[in-house]
Amino acid sequence: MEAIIQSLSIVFGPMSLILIVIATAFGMICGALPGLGPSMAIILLLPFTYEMDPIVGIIVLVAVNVGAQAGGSISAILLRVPGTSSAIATTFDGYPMALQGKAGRALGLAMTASAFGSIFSALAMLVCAPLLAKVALRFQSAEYFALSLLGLSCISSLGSKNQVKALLSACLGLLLSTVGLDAINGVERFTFGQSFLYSGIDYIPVMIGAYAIAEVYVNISEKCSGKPEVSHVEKNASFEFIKIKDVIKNWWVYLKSSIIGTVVGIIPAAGGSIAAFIAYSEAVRSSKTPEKFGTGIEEGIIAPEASNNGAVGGSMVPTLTLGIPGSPTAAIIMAAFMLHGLTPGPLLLSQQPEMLYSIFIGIIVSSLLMLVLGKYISIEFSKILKLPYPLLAVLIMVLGVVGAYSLRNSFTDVLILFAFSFVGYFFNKFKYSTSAFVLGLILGEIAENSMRKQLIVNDGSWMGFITRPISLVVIIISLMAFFGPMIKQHKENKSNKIIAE
Amino acid sequence: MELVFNIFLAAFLIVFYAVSLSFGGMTISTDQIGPGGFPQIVIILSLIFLLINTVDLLKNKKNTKKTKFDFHDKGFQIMIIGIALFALYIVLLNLLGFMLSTFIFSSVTIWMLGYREKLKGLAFILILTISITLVFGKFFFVSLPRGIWILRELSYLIY
Repeated sequence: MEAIIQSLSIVFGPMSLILIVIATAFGMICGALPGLGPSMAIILLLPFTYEMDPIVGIIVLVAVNVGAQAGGSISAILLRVPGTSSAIATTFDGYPMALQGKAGRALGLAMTASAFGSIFSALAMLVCAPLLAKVALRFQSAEYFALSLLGLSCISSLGSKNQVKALLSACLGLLLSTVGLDAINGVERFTFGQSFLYSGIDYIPVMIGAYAIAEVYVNISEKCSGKPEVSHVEKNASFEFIKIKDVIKNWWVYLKSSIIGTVVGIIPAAGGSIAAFIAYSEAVRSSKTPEKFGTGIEEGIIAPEASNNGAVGGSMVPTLTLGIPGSPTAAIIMAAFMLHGLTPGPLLLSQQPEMLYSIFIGIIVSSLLMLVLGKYISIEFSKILKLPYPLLAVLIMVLGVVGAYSLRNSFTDVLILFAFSFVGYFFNKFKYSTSAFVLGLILGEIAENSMRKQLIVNDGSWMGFITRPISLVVIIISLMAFFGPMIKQHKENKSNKIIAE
Repeated sequence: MELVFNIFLAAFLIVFYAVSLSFGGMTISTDQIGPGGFPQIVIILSLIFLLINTVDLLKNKKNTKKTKFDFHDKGFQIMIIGIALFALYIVLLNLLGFMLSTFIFSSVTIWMLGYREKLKGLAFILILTISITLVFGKFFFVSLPRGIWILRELSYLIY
């Protein structure tokens, strides 16, 4: 009890509160700018925390992370440019919803879901951190493979209009994920002698090119041909606060996605983007109207946003309890612990229990602030939409180039962006699924490596995937999620044929 | 036109399959799949899906709406010029540096896209170029392209 009171006094101190507000807003802005993201935001603020009290310093960095994960949704919804990799799944329904003239509601949903996910993960962290950490340690290659399958299973719903094209798009993404040095044998694959391809194709420039730049090409072509516009994002998008009754209406999606986010966040090296895809896939699987996903429905925004912010608290669990970072961002926060002379792990929690409570309270305060700050930051960002289209197109192209370049200060990422802008354009033209393609590209590496590692450990036997309980359950859920929409569509087609006859 | 795209995809997949055959065998005895196995499985699956799609396309040739590129359409022509300008911008980044190439690209592109308000356009371009340079180059320490010769030296004064 004494530790809780002490934590409250630390977090609610005037200086701490001001710093949390600044950190959350800073995180949101960095998250909304493509190419920056949570890691960059934390690294930039890290030096400013040297002189702070260690606990306040860590809370500030966690607040940046909370804000950045949510901020990624702003540009994903308004411009179809995901600010962070964990906001990719938000574009699936966020942007179509904005095209329907409901950008304000989409932003409101994203912020509410993000806050819900963060608060849930903080609660989970507080109540059962040591237990969750033990569960995380049970995750081995078989479980990682099963998780990647679960993430990939939403392909069938992403391609409800043309399943074959969606599957082909995902396969092309999986194929490109194998470019670079093989993680197990070190063999060069599809590098064609080019050293810049050794580290593979980063999905951020691919994503910016295939989504944002390709969208600019299409818009230029449509707007300059004098044809009437089919749809556009409303220019006066105002942030809409989500009512509690609306949250209750979708309570199951909020809760389930937050649980998924927290669990996936706990697993080392998984992270927010995989959590978002898995939550999206699960939302599709359990929906009564899976065919509406991708057309701009609320669950399609809630699921990825609640889960990617759920992963924030989740990733702190192994960091705090075991000293193993749950994500690259958590690794930077762990470095911050060490810079302040603290060593994360069981000893720290027993010696300084106020640290856990302070982080927990800090995440809750930051999440609530996010709702308020989200309104003002979204309004500022939505002003961009008021620009005449020629100016907006130039802004997106320049921002896209800078976003791709700033990832590794590498010009080749800009070339990748340019190349994949054509892939996005042709996919759009021939009704292939860009989302399935990006999904394959992101999950391909983890799927292949975990599958091969499991086979190596199991002496080449495939039984390891089904004899491990967690892996088996996840694989069954993946198969259900994958074949469910297909069977449903097949049945519908059959009944439509009978009616027609 | 989609048929041409499918042929291109098939050629791409076949080339990748041929390349994957040179990845060598297993170096770890229990690594049954090896470095080439996963891409080969994916390529075979892709070819199957591509074949299904192509057969479907040919079967429904009469019923489906054709996707074609209208080269005489003004919008399409402007888009092509826009892509060419974007490509030129990417090339110029390393020669002229970020600030100058962004300024030139923005000016030409917004004019090409039909924006004629000179003062507002100039203000926008200046704000865009300066703010991105300062935010990314100065504040976030991104080493934006600096260009060559004197432009490179000058860029160090700014970011």
